[in-house]
Amino acid sequence: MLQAFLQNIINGLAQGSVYALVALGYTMVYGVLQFINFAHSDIFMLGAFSGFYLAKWLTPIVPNPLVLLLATILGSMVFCVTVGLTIERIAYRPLRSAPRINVLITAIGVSLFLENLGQIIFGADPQVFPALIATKSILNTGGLVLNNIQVLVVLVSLVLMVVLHWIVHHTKLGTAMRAVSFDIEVANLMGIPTDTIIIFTFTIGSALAGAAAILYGLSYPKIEPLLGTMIGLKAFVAAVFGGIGNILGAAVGGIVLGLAESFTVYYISSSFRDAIAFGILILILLFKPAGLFGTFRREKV
Amino acid sequence: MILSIKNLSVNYGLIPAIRNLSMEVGQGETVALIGANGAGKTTILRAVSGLIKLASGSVVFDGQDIARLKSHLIVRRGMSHVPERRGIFANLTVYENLLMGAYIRKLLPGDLDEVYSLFPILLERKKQIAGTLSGGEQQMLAISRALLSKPKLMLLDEPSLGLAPQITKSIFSIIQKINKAGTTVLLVEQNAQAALKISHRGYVLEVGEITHTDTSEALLTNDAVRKAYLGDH
Repeated sequence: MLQAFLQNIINGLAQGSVYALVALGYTMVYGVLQFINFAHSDIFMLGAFSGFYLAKWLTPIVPNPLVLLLATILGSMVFCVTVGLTIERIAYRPLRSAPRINVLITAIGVSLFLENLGQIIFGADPQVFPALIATKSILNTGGLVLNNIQVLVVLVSLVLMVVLHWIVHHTKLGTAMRAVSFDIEVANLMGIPTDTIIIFTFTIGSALAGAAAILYGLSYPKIEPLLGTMIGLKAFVAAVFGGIGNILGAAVGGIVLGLAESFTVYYISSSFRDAIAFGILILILLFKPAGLFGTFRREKV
Repeated sequence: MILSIKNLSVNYGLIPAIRNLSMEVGQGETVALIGANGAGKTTILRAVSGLIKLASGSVVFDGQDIARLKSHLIVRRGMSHVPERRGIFANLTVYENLLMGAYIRKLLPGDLDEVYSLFPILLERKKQIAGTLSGGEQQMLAISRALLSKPKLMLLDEPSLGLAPQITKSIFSIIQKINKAGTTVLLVEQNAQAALKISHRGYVLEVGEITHTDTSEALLTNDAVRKAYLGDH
């Protein structure tokens, strides 16, 4: 009993930290621009494919698996940032003064575009993500299994979230980001160049998605161009659960969702895996629509 | 003249809010812009600091036309705008708010001391989330934050809004102090009495147009102004 419980915590943490990393991208962009960047899930997908090709190319050249892994993660992060900033520049920035609904619809359009482009370029068939490091069991006692990939996923996510927290709370740029997310107009009156802050936000969000994509590929080595859809929806649920726009909320929401899924699969049925996420969404919207850490802000008049 | 507004017109959609308005602020002055609710006072400040587009006209600040400049660049030219309702970042600490005030420059330790000596309460509340401050303290924070960009001209939009008379009095005496220390002030107020008492000159605004302008002393004794804005019957 206890082993099963602990096992579910381990599995849930590994899954949840990937959700959390993706959720952070949704919530940060929402924080500064008040719209859901639906293309974020496809940035995640592109991160997985960029990692796939990069790893294939690097494997014969780089013998050290740890270096290979780090290079793949960094490469995917850089690629995702490039994609994220291009989307922001081409699709979102021209709509800066347009009603939010226009931006939202554009985001859905960009998402569909990337998914279909992905199918043309990568093909619709699933591909096997290369095992950058061999799976090794670290702990295997009395039914409790813990492998190096799970530890790696949780550790890398944790490091990224600590770095993010530091940037957001202890640097001038991070403080400016929080200021912009509170009141973009007053931030302007402080001399804060809001476009720069928005670019910075997209950079961080996309980089986290890129890292999450590799961690995901290591844990579930099957990738395809529609990969982002479900992960994206789950991460979005996590962000709403934590309180959209709230960074701590997204991190906690992701972990909680991962744990909830893992427990549901074990104690109820694996066919309820997706149902639990959306069930949580419905419950939170019914009983605490602002989310766990969110606060309602009155509409400005 | 540090600020000269010529033939300014601003529209909200098809509705003209400001029509062909001209006014000036001289170096070192405190100029009051008074008028009833809805006269367009805030609109003028927002147009000057680049938050809204002008329909026509020019705004010359410190010798350069800034009418089409983005607001964050106008701040860099030396203009600082304390918006209506103070606009503090309620999610940041008092200290972080001050840090944002100094965003365009490097914050030197002496800068904060200056601000804390004007408003000692802010030093006490330094680590507190700004949203938990009282209205008066928030106004002090908003003014301090604006000072930290080291402006040549400070625009103040209704600093007395929602404050108890006693607190308004102390805020206004600080504004006077700031002006004496060399910052030019353009003060928008509904509280005409208080604004005219601490300013050198004043403009009276009625539905988008200037109806009176004179020295503040003269405005305080002007019958029409007294009737309309100073509660005389």
